[in-house]
Amino acid sequence: MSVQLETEREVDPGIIVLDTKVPDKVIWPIAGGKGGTGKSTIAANLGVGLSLLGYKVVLVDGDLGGADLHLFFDQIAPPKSLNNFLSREVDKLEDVMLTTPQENLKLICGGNEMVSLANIPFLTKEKLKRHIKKLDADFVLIDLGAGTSYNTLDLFSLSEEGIIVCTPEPHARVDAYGFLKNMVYRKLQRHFSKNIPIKATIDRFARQGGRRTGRMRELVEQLLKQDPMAGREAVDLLATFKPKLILNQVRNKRQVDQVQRFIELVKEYLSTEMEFVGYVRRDTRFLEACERRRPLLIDFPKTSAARDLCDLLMIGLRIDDRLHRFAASHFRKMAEVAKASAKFW
Amino acid sequence: MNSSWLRGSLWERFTLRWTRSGPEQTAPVEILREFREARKILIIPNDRVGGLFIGAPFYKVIRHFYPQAQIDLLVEEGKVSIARQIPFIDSILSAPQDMSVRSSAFKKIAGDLRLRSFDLCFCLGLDCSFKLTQLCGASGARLRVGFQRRGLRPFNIEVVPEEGTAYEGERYLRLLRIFGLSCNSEVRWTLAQDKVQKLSARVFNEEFAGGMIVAIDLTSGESEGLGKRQLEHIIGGLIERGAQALLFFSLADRKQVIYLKECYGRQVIPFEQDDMAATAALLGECAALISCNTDLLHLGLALEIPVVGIFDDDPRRWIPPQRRFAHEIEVSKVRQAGGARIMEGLEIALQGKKENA
Repeated sequence: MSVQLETEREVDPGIIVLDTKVPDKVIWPIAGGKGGTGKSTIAANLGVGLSLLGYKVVLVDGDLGGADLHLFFDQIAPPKSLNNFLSREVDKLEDVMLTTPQENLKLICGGNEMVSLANIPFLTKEKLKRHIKKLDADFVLIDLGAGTSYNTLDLFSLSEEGIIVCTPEPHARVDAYGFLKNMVYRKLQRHFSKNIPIKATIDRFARQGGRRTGRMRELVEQLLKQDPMAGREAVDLLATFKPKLILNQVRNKRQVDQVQRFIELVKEYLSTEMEFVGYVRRDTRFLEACERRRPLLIDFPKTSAARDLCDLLMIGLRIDDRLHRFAASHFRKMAEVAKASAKFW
Repeated sequence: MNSSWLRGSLWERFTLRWTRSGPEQTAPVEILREFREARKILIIPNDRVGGLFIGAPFYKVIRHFYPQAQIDLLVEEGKVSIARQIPFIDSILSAPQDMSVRSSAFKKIAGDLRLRSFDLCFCLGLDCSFKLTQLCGASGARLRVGFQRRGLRPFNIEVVPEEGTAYEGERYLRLLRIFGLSCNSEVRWTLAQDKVQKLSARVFNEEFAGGMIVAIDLTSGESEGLGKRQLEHIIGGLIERGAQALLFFSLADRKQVIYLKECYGRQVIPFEQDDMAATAALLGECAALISCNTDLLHLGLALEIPVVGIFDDDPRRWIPPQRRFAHEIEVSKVRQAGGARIMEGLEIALQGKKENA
């Protein structure tokens, strides 16, 4: 038994106002460092999967300058996109939201028409971040571009639990590591932007960061010596940053086993706890679905890759089915529901 | 609602009869003085979801006569979110829903209640609230007031309900009148609009914005719930009118919800009623409610939305008199109420609301 309320309240004449809690919103930026790892594919399929589980989802194409997420939803020339928002044609991000054939799934297309969209000014970027935070949905998935530009890093910093999509190849792992490293330094730099001495220390350390001695732990020790309070803030900042890792295009089990080494490396050098939430097997039907301009979960819901996506959602990311239709092990049922919803596409 | 919670399992009732043959032997108490001077009061409402709402005028009267007293409300965990918003109550005590009267959880709660040394405990509800009634008996309150129960003696002041069927909320107030506690008990419920809008934007489909949404309570309560054919008829009728159906369901009704969702797609919006405050918020946005048990019925009545109630017992017990927007359908079995009759009832309730306005 628990006591839930112990307050003094005025007795009003007899009107009881019922208040309610709006469910929390989850923002998942999806990045990876290297191009071609399947960020957009994973974003589109996770979006469809979450909507199948009964959640309201908004997919935002945050790949400024290289937007292509709309192609998964058969939108060749989207009527509205981020262009309209960034060029101030519309006031709200909701105004450029497009419906998709999938119930509960909305799409905000990135724009390619505007020249130099990839280099938006700082204030415009902040406005975009602010509006993304205000979007009303259970899940907001942001598909980010490759590389470590400040735009990508800042949009990734919208959540402490962003998703890194990586393939088993060493190149992808190196790029994912590079992305995380840049992300960690960017977070520290922005957090201490007004603390000039601390920022100078971080900048100096960042310039040496590629060397073997460049462990984040050492930077924190330096900060603790220099300013104990700032040092503790840095420790907290690193502790709250918990990205999730998805391994895409997996060909064998050995590749999955190698992930643990990568996670340990990130922990050792970047003092960042990364969580491995699952893998998706390589499947040529991803390409077929791409050609048909549909997500794999809709076109080929019974394939092993679709099963991996379902496991990723229900086991790795621990998302419950709102209608209690399928438990984590009921992949077939989910595939049937996906197939049924395909008729609306 | 789990029937074992309402009435107690056969085993529990059987063992209770053997182990507790009569009321606890306590020292004599001077009833009126104890009643007058009570400083710590525990109220245990009827444990149906609507019990909280029916009981609100009762809490108001108690608060009026005991302005300085500590008034606690004991409810199941699922109702805490809504109970904490009742302004006449000082603190909410919660009990898990699935516990046996022989469980350690039950004993722990009873022990906690005894530690609080209540002077006065009211147990509302006439034929249900089995476990809460047992908790009232085990609470150790000096005065334990409740309606007479057959075969069980948890109270030391038993009120015998009068013959005939009356509105349950009115019976609670009559109980208080016996002790001379009577004042204006009118209570109105309203919703925090900003949160409601946010929540409804999250749940309802934007494509149907502005259209009529009718809530259907799928939870079966003690009676059997609405059948598949009835639901098909109702939802079909709603779709013909360009309306959507908001299906309130619990885990036990998920198969029916899945079937309806697969059949009607976006025209039906399922919502699991695990959070009563959210349920209330969404219900407030609906044009009407169709319900075959008292769980959401009282919530609908409290929020003054048109209600169609399908009852297999006397509806006068659950619907307060002079509510023109409430239409009751009395049948011997819930599933005997035809879809056409329910839709007709909906029209009458909607019309009643218009006239009321």
